Amino acid sequence: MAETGQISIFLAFIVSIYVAFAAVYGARTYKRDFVRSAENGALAIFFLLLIAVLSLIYSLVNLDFSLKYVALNTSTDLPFIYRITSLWAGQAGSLLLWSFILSIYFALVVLQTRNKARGLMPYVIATLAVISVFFTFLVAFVENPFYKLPVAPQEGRGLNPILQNAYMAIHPVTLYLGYVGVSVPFAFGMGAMLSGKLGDEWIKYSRKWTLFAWTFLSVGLILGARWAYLELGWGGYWAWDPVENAAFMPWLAGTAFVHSVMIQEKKGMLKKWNMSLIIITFFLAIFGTFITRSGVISSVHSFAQSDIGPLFLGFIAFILLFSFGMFLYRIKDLESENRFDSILSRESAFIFNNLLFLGAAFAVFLGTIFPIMSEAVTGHKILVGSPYFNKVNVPIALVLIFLMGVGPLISWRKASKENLMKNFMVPVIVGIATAVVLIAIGIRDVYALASYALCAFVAMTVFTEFFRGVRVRSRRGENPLLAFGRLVSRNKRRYGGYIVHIGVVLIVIGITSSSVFVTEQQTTLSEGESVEMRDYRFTYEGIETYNTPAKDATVATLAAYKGGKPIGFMKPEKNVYKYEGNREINQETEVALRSTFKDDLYLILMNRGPNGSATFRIIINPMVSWIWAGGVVLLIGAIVTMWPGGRREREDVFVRYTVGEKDSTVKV
Amino acid sequence: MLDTAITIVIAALAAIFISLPFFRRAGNESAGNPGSSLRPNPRMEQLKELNARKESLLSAIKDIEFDYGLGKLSREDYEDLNSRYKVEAADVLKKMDEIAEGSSEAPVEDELEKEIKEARMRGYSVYEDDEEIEKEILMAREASWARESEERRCPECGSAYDADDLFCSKCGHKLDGDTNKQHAESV
Repeated sequence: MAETGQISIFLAFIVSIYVAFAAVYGARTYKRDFVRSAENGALAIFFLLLIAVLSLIYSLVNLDFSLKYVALNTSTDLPFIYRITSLWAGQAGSLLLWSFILSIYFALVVLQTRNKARGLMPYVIATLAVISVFFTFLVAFVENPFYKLPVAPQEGRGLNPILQNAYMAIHPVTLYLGYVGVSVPFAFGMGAMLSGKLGDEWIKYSRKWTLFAWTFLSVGLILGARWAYLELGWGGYWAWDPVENAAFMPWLAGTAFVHSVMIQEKKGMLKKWNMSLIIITFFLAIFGTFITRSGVISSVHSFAQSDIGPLFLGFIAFILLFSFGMFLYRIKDLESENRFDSILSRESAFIFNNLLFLGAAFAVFLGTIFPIMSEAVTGHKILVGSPYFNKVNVPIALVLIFLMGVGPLISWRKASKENLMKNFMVPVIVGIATAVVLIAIGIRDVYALASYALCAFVAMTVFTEFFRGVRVRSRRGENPLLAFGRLVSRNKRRYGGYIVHIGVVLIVIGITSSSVFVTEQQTTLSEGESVEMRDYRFTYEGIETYNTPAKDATVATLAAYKGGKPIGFMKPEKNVYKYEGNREINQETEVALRSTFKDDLYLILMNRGPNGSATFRIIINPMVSWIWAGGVVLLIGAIVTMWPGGRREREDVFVRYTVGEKDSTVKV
Repeated sequence: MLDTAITIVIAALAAIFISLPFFRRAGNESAGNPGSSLRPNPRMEQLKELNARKESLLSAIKDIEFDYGLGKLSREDYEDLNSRYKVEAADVLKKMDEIAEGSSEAPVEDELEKEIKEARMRGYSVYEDDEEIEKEILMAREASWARESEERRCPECGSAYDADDLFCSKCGHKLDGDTNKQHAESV
């Protein structure tokens, strides 16, 4: 099986090279059969990598320790499901997964668009093929998951215990779907520049892919945060860790892109800006993969040891040079068709939004690469901690939230004063009232006040939008529920977007509350002793140990009371994993968590002391659940936005009828 | 041994699949299909471009209607933008028709209408609102043609006016100009 997988990867690499050349040659000489062949090649890449992935999974499940990758990432005691997920536990497997996901996108793009954007598609195919060449090269020649050990060991090193978690099983795949998905709009942008068709076509056909990738990046980030919160046991969910930043940066740039393409679609403006944004977003996605996979951030020295580091840097340099080179070459054709009508318009709100998102991305980028730079230049690593990131990003985020409320309320092109007054009155009053009430109940933190007030403002504007839309429709005689349904289904992009905004508001409220009002205490208790925090009391009832084949576990039991009433037992654990893995982490804390929308009780067993005493860290974390709930709302909104609608079909009908009579009858 | 065999089969299948289009070509050409060239058809390109332009104008008009309906645009701004976009859309549709007529084919819009109906019968959802706007643009276009042949005159002062004007731009006489007024009421 392993040989088959190995050869499949190699073939995928060869086919990728062929596809890139065939597509460009076909487009240049107007030979359709070459383009058709390239299209089939794209599908072949998918099948070849599918075979490779399946054969690696086969080896993992059957614990074929003769493969280095299997020996390093599994062990005989590993449950079935984690044998499969160890496909992306290590470097080589992750890169294979990256290539495979790319090939899925590639095949779908070809199947969906090949008969539509004919002038564009060969170059889109060529771009995706070049990306595929790079990644299949890495997997085939540099980080091969099918590398055979000279002697197969009896037992594998096992999967890192912190990776044995349901969230860790899906979070990387989600994030990869986001990272890799960014390749598609990038390929369409490059296709537009290479073919010279710089109209809206590339945006129109890549739009759903952009939203798809953006959604997966968002969900991946939230799942990652949840995983960190549940599994890492330090009480938080976000630490501005380089790997987190790596996913956050393309998200920031991608969010800017998702907004600014709307202006191009509606007004024919910002063509240069959109093109640059998608290049930057793709660069950040590849850079994110690079940071995550090369280990460069932990130390430049690991960079020197890793083979893929320089290759990645070379590829990144190639992408930047080539795409910005094309950009300069086409810059005359990227002129806007229209002009701004007014500073007070949704367009300009979008521009501010874009600048802020990019500013945030740049700040995160600087903070992320600063340690490497300082180590490279001075030999000392200067760490950039959370205070830097928070100081820069919190104000930017607050202004962005403000714009999130402003955008929907002011009109395209031109907003008049009376209308602004009329539309903003209620939401502004609601925002101010929120701040006043919060001050009255004793909240003094300026950032928290600003954040809550702005969230109330945004929530109110979105509510107003829905309310007015429903009112307009129900005046025509629809009952409100039907009016609401039709309002959303007839304007999916608009109202789906608003739902996403509500999700973001919930997330921001959760982040604000849990970071400003967290209470934390470390305490050592003897059996029967209690500790009080806020209106909670915890009584330490005892400690015991149990063993499973995989681990020795120590469990403490605490009874929790709220306002004197018992609310249940909490059992934080500390586990030592048995197998002789030389993993850095073989100890793992299993947090005891009691979660409500009001607050989370988060208990960590730190140490077991003498005479049955134990040391705990107890954290009361308000409204963390709002973040996860916000993530769900965001996902719902994104699905609404992407839900297939009528317009596309009508356009297809039109194009097919008027222009495609002769040509589209040729089907391969 | 088995591995080698499987590998050869996989490689062969991939090669056949990828080279398939080259063998298919001969068959298609003999069937009288000239479509194996990718050489751009200028008429097709132009129509595509115009169609894209039309779509973006339609959505802009829809947005304006919406913003006006929700009270985000003042009446003057709404009317100004609305008529500007509609005139532009009418121009685009005219150009599209010219291209279609130039090749002695049925007018684009009639066929489009038919296709939409058929699509609907097949159960595709087509936006009502879009259709409304489309109708209005058609009206605006007819009006612009009418204007070219015999200009509309204000019954009060005799100066020319546009089909979608509500009031005479010269004397301010209320005109029974159709589209805008109707729309303002329906929104």
